Amino acid sequence: MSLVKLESSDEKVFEIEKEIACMSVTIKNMIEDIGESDAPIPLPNVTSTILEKVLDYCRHHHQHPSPQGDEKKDEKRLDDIPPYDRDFCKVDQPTLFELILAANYLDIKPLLDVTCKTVANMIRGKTPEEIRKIFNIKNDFTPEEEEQIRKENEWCEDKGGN
Amino acid sequence: MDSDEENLTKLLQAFSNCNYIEFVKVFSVVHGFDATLEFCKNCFVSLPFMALKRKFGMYDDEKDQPQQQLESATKKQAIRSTWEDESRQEYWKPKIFYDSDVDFQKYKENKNNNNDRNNSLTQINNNNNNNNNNNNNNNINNINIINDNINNVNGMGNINMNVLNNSNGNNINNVNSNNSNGIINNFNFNQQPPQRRSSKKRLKPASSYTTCIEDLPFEVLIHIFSFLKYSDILIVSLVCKEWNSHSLVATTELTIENRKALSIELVNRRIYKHSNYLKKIRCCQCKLFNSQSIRMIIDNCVSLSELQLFNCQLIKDAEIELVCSKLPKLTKMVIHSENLTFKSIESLSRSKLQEIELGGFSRVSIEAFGKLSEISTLRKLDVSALLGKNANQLTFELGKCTNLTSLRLGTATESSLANLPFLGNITLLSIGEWRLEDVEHTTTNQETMSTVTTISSSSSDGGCLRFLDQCKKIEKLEITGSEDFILRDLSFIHGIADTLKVLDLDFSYCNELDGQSFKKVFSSLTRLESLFISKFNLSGECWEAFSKMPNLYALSICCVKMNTNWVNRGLEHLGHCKNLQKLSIINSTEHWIDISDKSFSNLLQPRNGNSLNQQQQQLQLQQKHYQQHSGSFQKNLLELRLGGSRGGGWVLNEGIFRTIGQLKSLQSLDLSNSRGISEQCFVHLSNCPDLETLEGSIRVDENIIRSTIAEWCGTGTLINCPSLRKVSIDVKLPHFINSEIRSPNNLQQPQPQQQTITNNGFNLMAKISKDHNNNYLN
Repeated sequence: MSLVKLESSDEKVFEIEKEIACMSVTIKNMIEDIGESDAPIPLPNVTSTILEKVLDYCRHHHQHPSPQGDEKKDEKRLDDIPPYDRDFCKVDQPTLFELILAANYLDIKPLLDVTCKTVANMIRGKTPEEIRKIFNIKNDFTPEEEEQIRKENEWCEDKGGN
Repeated sequence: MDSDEENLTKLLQAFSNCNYIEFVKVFSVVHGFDATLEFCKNCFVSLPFMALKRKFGMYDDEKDQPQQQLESATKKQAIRSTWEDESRQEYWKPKIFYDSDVDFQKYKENKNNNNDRNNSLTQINNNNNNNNNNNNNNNINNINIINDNINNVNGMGNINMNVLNNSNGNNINNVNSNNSNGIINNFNFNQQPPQRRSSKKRLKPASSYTTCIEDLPFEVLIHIFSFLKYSDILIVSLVCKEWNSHSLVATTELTIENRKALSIELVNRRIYKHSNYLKKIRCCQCKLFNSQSIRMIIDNCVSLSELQLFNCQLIKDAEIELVCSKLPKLTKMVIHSENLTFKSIESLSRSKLQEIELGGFSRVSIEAFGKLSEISTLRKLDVSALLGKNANQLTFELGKCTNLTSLRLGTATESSLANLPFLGNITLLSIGEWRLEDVEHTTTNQETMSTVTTISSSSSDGGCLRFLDQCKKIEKLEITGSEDFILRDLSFIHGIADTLKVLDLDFSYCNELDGQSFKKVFSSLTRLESLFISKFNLSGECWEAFSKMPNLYALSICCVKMNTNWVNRGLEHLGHCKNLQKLSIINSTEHWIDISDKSFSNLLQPRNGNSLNQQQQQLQLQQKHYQQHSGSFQKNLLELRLGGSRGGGWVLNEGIFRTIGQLKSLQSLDLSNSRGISEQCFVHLSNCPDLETLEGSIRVDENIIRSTIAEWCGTGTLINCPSLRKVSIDVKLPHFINSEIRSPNNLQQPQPQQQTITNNGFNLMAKISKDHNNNYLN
């Protein structure tokens, strides 16, 4: 299998099978555009630590294609993260967000989904204040504004909180 | 009554560790709302109900806070809501806040001027223009604009990211903006002062900068929110201004239910507010939902793909016709109605829908449903909720829809399925009630005489689901047997074992099946991912079949006949199901059955564990990442349910909880209708780092009465569970408790500050009732 070289933003070069690298649609397009070449593909948006993780992910899923069918994919399910992916996402917040940015930039849909689901799981079922605390977001509402939104939301609140 | 209140007082004191308690639920058992409030006020003097004090406006720790008058409305809000309001700070005041009313009024004016409903797209553009010119609210409008443009340049995800970050005045070092120059010019960002970002303290030197959630580009945030339910999106809208505006876009689903405070104006306004982004509207039992709302949807919801109408009385055939002809992107419709006639079915038949679910329609003749075959795009059909339809005739009509791949039927018999020519293509088949042949019924109809002859031949042995031989592509099968149906033979499974992934069987009588054949047949289902079997007799050896399914991730067993021996042997086999994520074992007998802690711990270390470990090691050498992938029961299990129905249940001991404590991924534990749970048991749960929800039932027996009330619910120990969010416990007091229990005066208040607490507290729902059954363990 032919290898491709990828260069991270801090100028480290990774060598990886072309087929695995092409799980990233961005890289796939780049390879198609420039054709076969020995020059490393520059990925200026991804640091070497993150790129290494991303490649680990791709390698794993290349070896273990997921058995689940396509049908489930458009469902809003948060509990279908496979065990490897769940472990993969057990990282600190900055790393998780950088993984999301990398997945978005490299256009790796399964990785983007699984990282986003992890964040969604962190949000799910929390109060606004808890969410602010978790992500260190400042509350920029005045009490009046907050009240107004709350009022607007009121009619469609869950009865008895599920 | 008095002693109940006393008990509740004590219980609440025990709960004082919790951040937030759903008082309404706890107290409504006995008192109702006002008494609850009164009681809470008194309790605050002595108890550290921090969160509640804030909600009720009783800031005794912050003297400068004015004592708020508790208006009835705010009281209710305080109890109902879970909002925290610690860090309200007025450091940024907007000039004018977003007001959907203004927008909505504009729509109405606009609508009056512009009667051409076909131009819904241009109308929206008009609206946007109006907003730009007239409305001072930049936040929301600009997001709209940005989003519109993103749609234009879709497929260039990386470029969008750059654009958005630039728009917010941030230079983040890991974002490359070189390749975005050409695009940026097309955006009119200038209207937008970057004040939202600048108000946050976050610009640090690039070298020490850590990525945070605010660095995520707009569309990624929307993607994250898209996994949330609407109730969570409403919470998101209260986090900060930016998220508030995102929540508008992230709302792709809207559910409208019949509620007291609801007016049609409110409904239409809500639809309008989200109209550009709505993909799915679900309307349940809503008496208000009328033709005006339908017009509103047709005019504005350009990307709507799913519309569900459950018993909306005001919706008539004409509205269905409109929906079918004017919403080009609609792919799925759900209609449950008694008002609609065959005209609606005809309208549907002219649509381009891919998925239809119909319910009710008791006055519409069966022949009308044959019209559905005119929809060339139709792939999925659900007619399980149609009323008063003969199964054979209906399937005869549906047999014309040759493109179907998914079919849900209400009732079916062996012969009715023989009418379906497309069984070979079907991937999903669901039968609500599998019946024996109803010969009387079918012979009365002349049209189906031809099929009746085949009925009589096959009806003699309807107990073996012969039709499944034709289903060559079936992946998902759900069958519920009617009460008089006896499943005699499982051999049908052999024919579909190659494709089947999800199996859901619920038969009342399977007594004639012996364990050996069950084991043999189910062992062949190697591709199975999810299995639900109800009311089978599963002797211990049967369970071995489950370990032969390598992809199995959800298993639910509900048994009508069980004994301790079977279960304990069965559990040993379950330990081999390596990828199991959800396990539910329901004891559907009337007896209490002990689970031995030894056999339960076999889940984690199956009997022949040694040889297995060797295998694992070898494989680890072969595959670098095998260890993480293979995991084990211990690592993978997310949901565990050990429950009972029909009066019986499991008796659990502390050893079982010790094992549960080793399930490192466990997120949800449901032990309702189980016995033997004590405070010591809950101690072990703090070893589960991800445990989020706990359901249990506690029957307070005499020993526990003697100890303090805090131990009843073990909340003193549950507080150590790091991720616990939701606890619901059904406390059953013995019927004689009034006379027995005396309040311990020296009730020790838990001291949360002194413990190492990682948990932020959880929501506790406790239902307290008296157990009048004298059904106690000795």
